[in-house]
Amino acid sequence: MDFRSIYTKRQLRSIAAFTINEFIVGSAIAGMIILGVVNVTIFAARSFEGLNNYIQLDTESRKALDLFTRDVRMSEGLSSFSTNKIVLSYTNSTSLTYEWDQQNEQLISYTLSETNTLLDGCDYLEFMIFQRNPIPGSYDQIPTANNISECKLVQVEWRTYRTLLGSKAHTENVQSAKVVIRNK
Amino acid sequence: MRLNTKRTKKRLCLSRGFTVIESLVGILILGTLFTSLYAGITYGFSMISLSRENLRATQILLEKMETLRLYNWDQINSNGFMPTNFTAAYDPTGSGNSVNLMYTGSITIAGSGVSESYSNEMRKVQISVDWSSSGVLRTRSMETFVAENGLQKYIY
Repeated sequence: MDFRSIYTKRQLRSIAAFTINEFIVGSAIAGMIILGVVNVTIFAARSFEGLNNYIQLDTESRKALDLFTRDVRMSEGLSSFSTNKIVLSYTNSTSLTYEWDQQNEQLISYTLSETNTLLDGCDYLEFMIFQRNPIPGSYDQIPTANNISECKLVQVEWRTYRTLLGSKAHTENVQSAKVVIRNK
Repeated sequence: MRLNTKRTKKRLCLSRGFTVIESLVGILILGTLFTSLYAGITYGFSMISLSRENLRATQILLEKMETLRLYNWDQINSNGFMPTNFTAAYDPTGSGNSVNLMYTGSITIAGSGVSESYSNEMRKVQISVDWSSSGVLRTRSMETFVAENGLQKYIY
């Protein structure tokens, strides 16, 4: 008796297992596809995180700068100065302190009753103070770090950062402003 | 004698691989998706970068406007006391990771342009900054009036 399969060669091939060559080629293609998808996912995640960081930094810095500008403009002068801390005095004998907490990398402002954290991740901040008199031929004023009673202009510079997968590269923001004490 | 099979045409069809056309269309769709994603992210970064450059330009303009009130009337009107051009860096600390682009600025002090009797006691000050970003020259400017009786008259 002669048994003959009704399957064609093509049909037999479609239900057969993989050969070693097919398996290797299939694995290589699958590996490349997975690698591509993983790369795209990491790239997209890093990018979105970076965008989010920049937006956060900008928002925080704008708010801090606005508050600092308002407080300096309204003050009557300084009662204390160092490059990381200034104490502003006001007409009703109150004072407001702006201080860079270098250890915690924060800019804080505080009165006797209230403390606010204005900036997080602040790895550089410097206050500078100047007299009223401009230097002829430039846009600068004469510095007066030794005599706070002569201070009419306060300059601040800071840099804030956020980490991106443990690194702070490419995610930083530098702000700078000069503010005139208008009540003096 | 013939052995019959239960495999239908549909099942056989399901176990077939993709045709070249199907593969090409799939690759095209995936390529379009990834290109769109990349383009979207790049555009987002460029917009944020431009926003940051704009913010810095505004800071520079505000700094100049702020210090303008420290000059007296004679200093504003004396030629050369206030320079007409200046430069400022995007990162004033100079230690950032980003490319430290430079802003060039100018200050123009002109007549007030008003017709009232006090027109000679006022000046119009225009401050502008230019910078180049992604090959495009960008400009921002601010204008203000200063008045002889609105400026300080004393120096200590």
